Amino acid sequence: MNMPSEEMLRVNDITLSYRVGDIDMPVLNGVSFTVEPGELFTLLGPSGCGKTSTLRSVAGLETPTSGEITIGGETVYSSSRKVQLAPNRRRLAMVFQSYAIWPHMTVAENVAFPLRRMRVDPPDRRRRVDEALGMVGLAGEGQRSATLLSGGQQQRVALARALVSNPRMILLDEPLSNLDAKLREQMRGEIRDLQRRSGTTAVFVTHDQAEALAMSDRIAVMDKGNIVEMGNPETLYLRPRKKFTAQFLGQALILPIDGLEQGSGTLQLRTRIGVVEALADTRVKNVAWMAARPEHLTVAVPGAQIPGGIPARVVRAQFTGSTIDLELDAGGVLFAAVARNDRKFAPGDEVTVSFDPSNIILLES
Amino acid sequence: MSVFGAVLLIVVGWLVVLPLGAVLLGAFRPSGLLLDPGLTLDNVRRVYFNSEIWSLAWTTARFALGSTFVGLIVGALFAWMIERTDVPLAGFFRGAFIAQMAVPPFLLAMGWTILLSPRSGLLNAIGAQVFGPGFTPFNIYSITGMIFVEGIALAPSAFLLLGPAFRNLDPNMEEAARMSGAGSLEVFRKVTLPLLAPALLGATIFLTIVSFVVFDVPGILGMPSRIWVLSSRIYSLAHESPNGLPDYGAISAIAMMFILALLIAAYIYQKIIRGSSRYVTVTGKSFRHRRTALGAWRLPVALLGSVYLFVCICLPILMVVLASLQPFMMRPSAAALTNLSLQNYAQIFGDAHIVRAMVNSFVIAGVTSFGVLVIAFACSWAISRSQLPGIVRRILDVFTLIPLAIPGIILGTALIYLYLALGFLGIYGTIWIIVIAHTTNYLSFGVRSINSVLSQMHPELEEAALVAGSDRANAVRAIIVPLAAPALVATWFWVFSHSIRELTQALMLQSVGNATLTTTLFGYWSSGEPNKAAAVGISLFAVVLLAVLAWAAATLRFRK
Ligand SMILES: Nc1ncnc2c1ncn2[C@@H]1O[C@H](COP(=O)(O)OP(=O)(O)OP(=O)(O)O)[C@@H](O)[C@H]1O
Ligand SMILES: [Mg+2]
Repeated sequence: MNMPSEEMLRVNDITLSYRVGDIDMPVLNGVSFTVEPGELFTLLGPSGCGKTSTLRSVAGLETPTSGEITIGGETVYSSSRKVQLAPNRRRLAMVFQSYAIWPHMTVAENVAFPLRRMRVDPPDRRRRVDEALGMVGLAGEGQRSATLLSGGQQQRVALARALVSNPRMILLDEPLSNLDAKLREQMRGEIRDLQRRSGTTAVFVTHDQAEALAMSDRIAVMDKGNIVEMGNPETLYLRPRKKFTAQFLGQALILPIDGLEQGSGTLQLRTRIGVVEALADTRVKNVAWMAARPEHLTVAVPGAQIPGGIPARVVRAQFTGSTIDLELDAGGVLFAAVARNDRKFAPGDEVTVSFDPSNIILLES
Repeated sequence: MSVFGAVLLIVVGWLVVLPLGAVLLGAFRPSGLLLDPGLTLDNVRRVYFNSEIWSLAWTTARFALGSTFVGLIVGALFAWMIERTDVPLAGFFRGAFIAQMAVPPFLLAMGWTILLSPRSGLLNAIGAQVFGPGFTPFNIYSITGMIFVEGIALAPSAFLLLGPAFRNLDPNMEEAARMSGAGSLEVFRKVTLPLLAPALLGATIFLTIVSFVVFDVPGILGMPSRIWVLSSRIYSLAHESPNGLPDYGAISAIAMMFILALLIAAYIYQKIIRGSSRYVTVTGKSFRHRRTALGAWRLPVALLGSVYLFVCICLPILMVVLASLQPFMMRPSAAALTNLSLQNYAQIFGDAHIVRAMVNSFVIAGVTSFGVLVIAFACSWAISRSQLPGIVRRILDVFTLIPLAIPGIILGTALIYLYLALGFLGIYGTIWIIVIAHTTNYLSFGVRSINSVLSQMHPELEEAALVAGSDRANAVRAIIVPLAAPALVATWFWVFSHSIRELTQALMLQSVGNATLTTTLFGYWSSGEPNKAAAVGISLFAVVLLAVLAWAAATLRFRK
């Protein structure tokens, strides 16, 4: 009765609401996506948009109101067929935001727990626990009490516990958000490597756009219980189609388009700060906004003129080492730009900004 | 809805709703018994168109508020001294206050009658000897005497309720107020007091409820001079009515009003506790303890504390110990002291009836504490963690709170109605009816105390086990139970030590085969054998003291 299928996870039109007092608060309004085997798929969005709720629905810890979820072709939830498979029968692994390391067990006992539930015999179990601890860099630490570990180490134990059972899919809910900045960067790489090496499919939840961009094969951007846009990191960053995506992923100057003239393969966009030329993008219907990333703007040094450039005034200039971060004011519109570090800018300087037509992003209404 | 939810609802409904219904509806039966025929307003009319009920309410209120006030003042002073000052021997004081929980209130009351009864009381006798025969200023058989003794009995609970609030008071807040130029008194009024307010208010309501329904002290000190409060009046209606038959109709009618008032109080208490516990969690943690330096007052304050403990707790107990070693009541004198013997103990331990009562008490306390633990854990988990429908969880939450507001004496009566009517169950008149009464009675405490542990436990700990392949039952067994174990042990000891010394319900439900140590004691006391009563009381005290010390040890381990 289960149809064989390519994808590891299919989430189909899931809705979910929580009962708060006497009212139902909708939290997910029809979320759909699929995840391919071996892929690292990220749910990215601002706090409260429903990422955790989505992940918990996949894990079976939350029962959606309607929709369907299949894992490896097996229906684990379906509102129409009244299926709700218990979490322990979904053969998944999950890394929780709080790590959920059991304080009454040693590191090894924590990691061995899923194997015990699978009734793996003791010698095999010990071998696999050692293997998993080795993978996360905790070899030989098995006998330590789990409560005496640092945040980063607990994180690793949680990962080892998730990987040890060779699950068909691993769910990670903001696993890095409790770590300090340096450790976070390091763990990003490690998680990515572990996931690649083991070939495990992963669904990753974060509200940190840099993390999402650095780690994911594909990203779904969520807002207010909906998936706004999905794609690989490059496309979503360089060619988003929704204003929300452009705003949420990185910085951008975003302007409403007042009028537009078709050229041959180009568009002339009339905006508050002047006319900007862009390459036509056939994917985008109903162009309503344009966006430009700070690193795609060219800012001429004070005094130098660029033909077709837009005049602006420097509000703030900050030397960061590798670049100079500028805040500019063009006709009352404030925006960010990045300049080379060998230039000199001071607040009040009159400069010209020019746009590269191939990097102008067109956004749908 | 799952089988689990249905079973819980049935168990809790059976324990709580059925007796409550039996009492409330019984008021409208001519005989007062739920299953008897007829419908009448006579009972209600008889009780409420009579000034006695209002004087009864007034005396009960005076007694309850008075003892709450005394208990609160003593408890708060000690909480402040132990948690907030550099008084010497703070650890000893804390231990002494926790150990006081082991003192059954009736034991205190007995001790105080020996000290302060108008004619034979020791202190009165000494007064008469020193100042002349007319000088006997103290009368323990008065409302003042009752308030005084009940206040002392409530102080340890007040201390336990207020201690954490005093301890968790964040000194940064007080310091911040100091820095902005406020004086000591102003800091206390504007910062400290408002911070303590939720805990103080919660403790006030809790103690008021407790002293509203308590029987021990009014039973021993009030009944001889016919000062009635709710509980003792119901007792007398059940045991001493003129025509020899218990006046169940009047009891039900009286119970109605008090249950209503107490339910409202319990509801307010619950609201306040919810608010204040959230507030304690937010603070807490990482601040150092800064204590007020008492300076020259360190020794006087410690001395004052010790004097209180000696005079108010040790002295009465000592009197009871002394009485238990004497063949009959004697003034302490050299002669009296040479007459001490263990004869009373030998007698009671040699008496098959008393040994039977002892076994009964242990079985009742053992089964009750275990039963409460299992039911309370299941309810608590169902309320906070399960996926049962919200309405079921709310019903469980409310039902398990209700027993707090049902006076033990009324619950006792209710169970008589119920199991007389359900005679075929064969529960009436056995120790099992007392087990049921105690289980219902301590369910509120069990659920609240386990709730507070579960609420500190991150739900993800359990969910991690689910995702790792455990079903619900296994996750609870492998994760929740071991993590909550110290608190569960502490709850078990608390219920055990309260059940084994419980007098009120055991007395109401007493019949031939189910005597307990406490009812035996009360029997000796009221039939004029105080020395034997004292021996039973001291034996019981020893057992409870052991249980309470174990409880304290378990709680301390749990804190760490
Ligand atoms: N148990 C619950 N009861 C009621 N409302 C809830 C519950 N859990 C989550 N919510 C609400 O549902 C919405 C989505 O929550 P969710 O946890 O999925 O967000 P999130 O995207 O994971 O956010 P964050 O980044 O803060 O973790 C939020 O508005 C939240 O307040
Ligand atoms: Mg979340």
